Amino acid sequence: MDLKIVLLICFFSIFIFIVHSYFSRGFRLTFNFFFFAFLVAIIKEGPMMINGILVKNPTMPYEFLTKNTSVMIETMLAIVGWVFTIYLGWYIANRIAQRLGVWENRIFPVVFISGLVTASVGYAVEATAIGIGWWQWTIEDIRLAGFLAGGVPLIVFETWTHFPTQYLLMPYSIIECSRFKRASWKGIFFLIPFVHSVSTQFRPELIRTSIEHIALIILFILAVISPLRFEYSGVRRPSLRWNLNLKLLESLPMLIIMMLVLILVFLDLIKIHNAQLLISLLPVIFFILLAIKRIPLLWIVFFALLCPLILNRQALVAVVPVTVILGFKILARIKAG
Amino acid sequence: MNQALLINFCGIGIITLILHSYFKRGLALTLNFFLFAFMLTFTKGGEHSFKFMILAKAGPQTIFPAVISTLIWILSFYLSWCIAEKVVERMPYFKNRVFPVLFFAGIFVATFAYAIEAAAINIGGWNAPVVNGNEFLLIPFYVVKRQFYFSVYFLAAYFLIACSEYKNKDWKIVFFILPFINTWIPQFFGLGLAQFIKEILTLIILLLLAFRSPLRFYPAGTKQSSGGVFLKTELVDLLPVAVMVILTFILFFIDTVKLHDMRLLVSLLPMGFFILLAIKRIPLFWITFIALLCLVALKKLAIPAMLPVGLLVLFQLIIKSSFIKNNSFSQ
Repeated sequence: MDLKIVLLICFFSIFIFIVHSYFSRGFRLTFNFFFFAFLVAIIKEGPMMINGILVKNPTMPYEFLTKNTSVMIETMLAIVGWVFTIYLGWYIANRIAQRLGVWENRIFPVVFISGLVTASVGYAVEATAIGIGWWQWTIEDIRLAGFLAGGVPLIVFETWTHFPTQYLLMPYSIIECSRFKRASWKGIFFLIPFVHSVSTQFRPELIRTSIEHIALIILFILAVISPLRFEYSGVRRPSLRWNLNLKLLESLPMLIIMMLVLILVFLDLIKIHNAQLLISLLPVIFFILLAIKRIPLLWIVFFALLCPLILNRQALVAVVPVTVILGFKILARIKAG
Repeated sequence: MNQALLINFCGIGIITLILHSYFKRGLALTLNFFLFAFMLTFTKGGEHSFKFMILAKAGPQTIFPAVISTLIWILSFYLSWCIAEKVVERMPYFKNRVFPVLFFAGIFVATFAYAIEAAAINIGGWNAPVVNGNEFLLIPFYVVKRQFYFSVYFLAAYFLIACSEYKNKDWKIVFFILPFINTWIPQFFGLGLAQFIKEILTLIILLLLAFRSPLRFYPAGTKQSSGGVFLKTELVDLLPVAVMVILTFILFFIDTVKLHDMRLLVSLLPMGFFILLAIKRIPLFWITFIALLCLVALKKLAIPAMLPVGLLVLFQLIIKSSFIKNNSFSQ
């Protein structure tokens, strides 16, 4: 599959997401979300183009291997890829949160789960991309190598969790979707991405990684203890026209993520001929199952436990989504009791 | 002057300006101005934050120079706003309009940068000039030009988002892109033609908007704090002037006592004329006269000193000629 086609699919999906967001959250929230998503994605992925054009000695931790694709296409793919994944992660996390009882409609659990969903999407995408030869990681990362399929380094999980949550979803949710949206000092939450961005400036590298991990721990603690809720009062939603069905509209991103999974399955089996890569799809599939409220949690737990039994340690990652949701459920019980 | 002393002075100056802003403009505008100015200017003299993450890794920073440059640029941004407001008040046609204030604020930051950089480069504080290819300035022109555009793009975003009628629009955040444009164009396309086109276009658009756009500062919704018995309005208004005067005195001290180079005082002239223009009681005629005297005495090196006065006179002439032609504009 050509990268240009992948880019087109991403653009089409983002268009669908914009339509979905516009009808479910109104113009302002949609505009701000996608504006900032593109902005932070450009900040993150811009160097690839500069390295490709201006700098002869690339400093990127990964490199594209496709020969007939321009640097511009590769950069655009990386940028729209982030926007695509971040919205998808947020959507799935919002749906999963509906299972969580007391945590439903709370900001931090949704942001935390979003990070896990984006990481699982990243795992599946990276395994296929590395397998098909689209790009490769130039840094050596052997941490937990035996537990991950397709030669995906652990840094993928870290990046695909930290970046969406700390650069976009946390500040965006607090500034635009919480009770703080009316506070005159809400701009202070821009410090969250700023601190991360600045940490890249100072040595040693440990400063940046420490900040990222501490932020993730804080996010988890806030997910458990903070009562901050999504607040959409004052949001003007457009009325549905052209006989658009609200339920159909609401399920559009779900169709997109299923399409993504199907494409990845097709590539893993037909193009790469490596069925083992399907293991990388398991976490995202379990997140999709968790997002469908009609499927009982018990069944999903059962399937998740079957995976490592059948597929050994490489399938342990597949248990993570279910474990997290069960953890939240148990905590909810403890709180209620 | 050692770094710790400089940080202390700048810190006190910024606290004074924060108080001024809080009492004059209210909490929201104050917090947002200083917060975003800080985020924009922290490290690398104000170009870091919107640089791409991985490229930014190339040059690790040490904390002291980063803090000093940040404090100085925050100081200059806020002072430029206050001074430009006062200068524009001399022209009733432009009073309270966003773009004329933005233009003069940018020019002020450039003159401020000229004074600071001339002293700092000679004292060995930071980056020494590679080649000074002009006879009009004591430092390379690009240093001054860079700060002009840097401040204009930041202040434009801030004014449009927080202080204009657009503050109530759902899409106001689109102006957030402006400072990014300023740093991304040289990063993506280098410092050649694209950068030149950006600068020329920015200047033309800014001048056109300064004369044509009726966009005004939008005070509705801003809560000003009462200064109480001890802080009268006149006293609060004097705070930026006090900071400005002390700063000029310090630079004067460094240039004459520390560096023993009287020639460096020329770099203080443009900023000095801005201060004079900001004091409305001093007639423009006298300031123009003094500026012309400087030109006669110092020749080419005094041309930058003429800039603030020359621009103000030019603006007034254009307004007057436009008034005579149209005979129907409203103030």
